[in-house]
Amino acid sequence: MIFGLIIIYILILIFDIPVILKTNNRRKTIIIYSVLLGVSFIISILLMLEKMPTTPSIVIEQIVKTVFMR
Amino acid sequence: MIRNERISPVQLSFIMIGFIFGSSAIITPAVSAYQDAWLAYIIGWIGGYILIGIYAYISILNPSKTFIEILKDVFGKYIGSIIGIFYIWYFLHLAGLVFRNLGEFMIVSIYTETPLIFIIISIALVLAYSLKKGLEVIARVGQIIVPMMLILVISIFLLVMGHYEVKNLLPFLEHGFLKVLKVSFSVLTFPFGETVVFLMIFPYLNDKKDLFKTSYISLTVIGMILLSVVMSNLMILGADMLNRQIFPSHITISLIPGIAVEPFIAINLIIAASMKITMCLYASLIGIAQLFGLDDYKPFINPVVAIAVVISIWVYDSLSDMVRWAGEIYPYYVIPFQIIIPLLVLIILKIKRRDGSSAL
Repeated sequence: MIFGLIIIYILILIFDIPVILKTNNRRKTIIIYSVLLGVSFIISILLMLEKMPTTPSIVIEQIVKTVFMR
Repeated sequence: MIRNERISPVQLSFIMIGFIFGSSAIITPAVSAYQDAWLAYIIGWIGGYILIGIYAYISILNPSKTFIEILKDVFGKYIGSIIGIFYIWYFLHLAGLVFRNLGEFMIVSIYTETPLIFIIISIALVLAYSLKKGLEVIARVGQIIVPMMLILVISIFLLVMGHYEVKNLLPFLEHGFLKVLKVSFSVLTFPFGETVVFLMIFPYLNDKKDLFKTSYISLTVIGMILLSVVMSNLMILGADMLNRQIFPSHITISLIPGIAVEPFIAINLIIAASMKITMCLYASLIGIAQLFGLDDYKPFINPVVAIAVVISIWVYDSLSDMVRWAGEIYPYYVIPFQIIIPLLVLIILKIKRRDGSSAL
């Protein structure tokens, strides 16, 4: 399953490389693209391994309860 | 602004209608008001006119700028960028939430044996393709499919009319007006306040003088349609059953004897939710590109869609968790994004304008 996930992300990269190479500000685009793809890849792997950090919904819920529902 | 894309007022109108209809047809917070759901909905709807008016006015004061650019102008480069990052997160989060709503409805009502992730990825692939084609293509597609969706909704509404029981609207205000007011706030934030996303889309309208008219006409049309959905569900199912169902529209339709119209609910949801997710993703893509001073968002489409898919799976443990969070937490979570920051931006813009004209 993890191998399948890696293949999917490699395919995404292969599809996107020509688009990235056509951009004007290539360096900045590559950096931002890497961050975005890296974040989604890491979270996907952690989801698959069932080692997820706290979901953002719980964090948001705690903030909302602290601010609005004291 | 990034690209030389332009949409007409009619196209914007259909996009807004599809967006607001979004997942609201299957999940509506108004049901918490029991038999007064219709009143809570109407109050929330009226509030929607005020919110959309604020968003349109902000855009008219800065006709060629998206909200990210406006934030940088109003709050300065660094604070504006930080607030912009939070908005990009909100747009992505909203896309993930709607993905999850759509996926959960599909596996509960139709594809009961299909894994959730498969449904979400299938839709994501199509939406990624539409984003690559650009806003003009999305708007043209919306011009075709959103009217189809409206015809389906009106047809379903006419089909179920014979099964209404007006006594399901009584007793009036049984749980008090305060309860209705509280629920109407949830209605205001979902779906009407979510049109804050259009602060990233309004600059692409080719004729800005029609912005207020287009926004209000769209809100009126979709408001009436959603009101008819709420009333139909309430008058057929009754207050108790309405409040206990996660997807009341699906139950309402399945009670019609002789005709299998449940697939039409799914079709409507796919059309509307896809429009909503696409706009949220488009807004986040434009936001990312503008935040980092880039002139093209297209390289980021696949990673951003992947993030939205991941968020949709990560965000809730279960369907009941989704419904609870949407009803109890979401209305408060979005207050800064939908109300406080846009209001602050409008006030500051007006003060700057007044100071600018008095200095002259």
